[in-house]
Amino acid sequence: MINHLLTQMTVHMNPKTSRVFFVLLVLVLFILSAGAPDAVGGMGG
Amino acid sequence: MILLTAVVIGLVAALLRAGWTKRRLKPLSLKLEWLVVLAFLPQLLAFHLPATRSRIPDEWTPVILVSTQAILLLFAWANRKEPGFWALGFGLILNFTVILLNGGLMPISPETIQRLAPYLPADAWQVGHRLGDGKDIVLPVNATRLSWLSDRFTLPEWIPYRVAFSIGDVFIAIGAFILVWSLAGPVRDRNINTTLQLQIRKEVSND
Repeated sequence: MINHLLTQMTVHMNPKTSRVFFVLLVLVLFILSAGAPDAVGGMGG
Repeated sequence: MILLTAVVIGLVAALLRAGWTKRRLKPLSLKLEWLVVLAFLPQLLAFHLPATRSRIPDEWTPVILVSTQAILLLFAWANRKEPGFWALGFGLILNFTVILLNGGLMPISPETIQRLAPYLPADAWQVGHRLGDGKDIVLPVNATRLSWLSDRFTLPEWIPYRVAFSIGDVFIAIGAFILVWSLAGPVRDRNINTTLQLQIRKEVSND
């Protein structure tokens, strides 16, 4: 399903380029979830 | 966030590497990517979106953090043969361990908070409670299990950005850099599956 959404979003893009973007997106989501938080940001500061 | 800096630096380095070696960035063949989305969505609501994070009860946040990190561990294990995942997975295990041993949130000491944000009023945080709406819990060092894995490091004074981070975060940053850097690497250096290898060979022969 995710791959399908990606295809829809990047229909005008080279498939390899869109896959690179997808890997980067997955990585960003991974580190946002896996990493410890920005403590000050977590306080809304 | 400091970890995103590793991705940006890695991307700039990878683009320079690709330009220098006259290669194009090539994608990795990741497995079970949907697990990352599954882990991120609850965290987005609980920790990142200001509109929702203050409405989620504090009792729920340890459950959300521990369960979503367990999902990420599964993803890291499934992709352990890909570049950088040894560091991403190891950093995640370090963070996960200290979080699990300290009630489900990442411990941060009062000393680190004062170093990080000396302007905060004394009643802005309380020992034994969650720090704001984030993933941290305020615990004294002597009451923290494996305190050396906690959010105990801060950036040097000359960097105009205040953030606390853990050893686990350092490994995650290293893993992120290696992964992005590898996008500009030669295909033979990567652990790609047979299908992708055949696909690449087919495209080369067509050219």
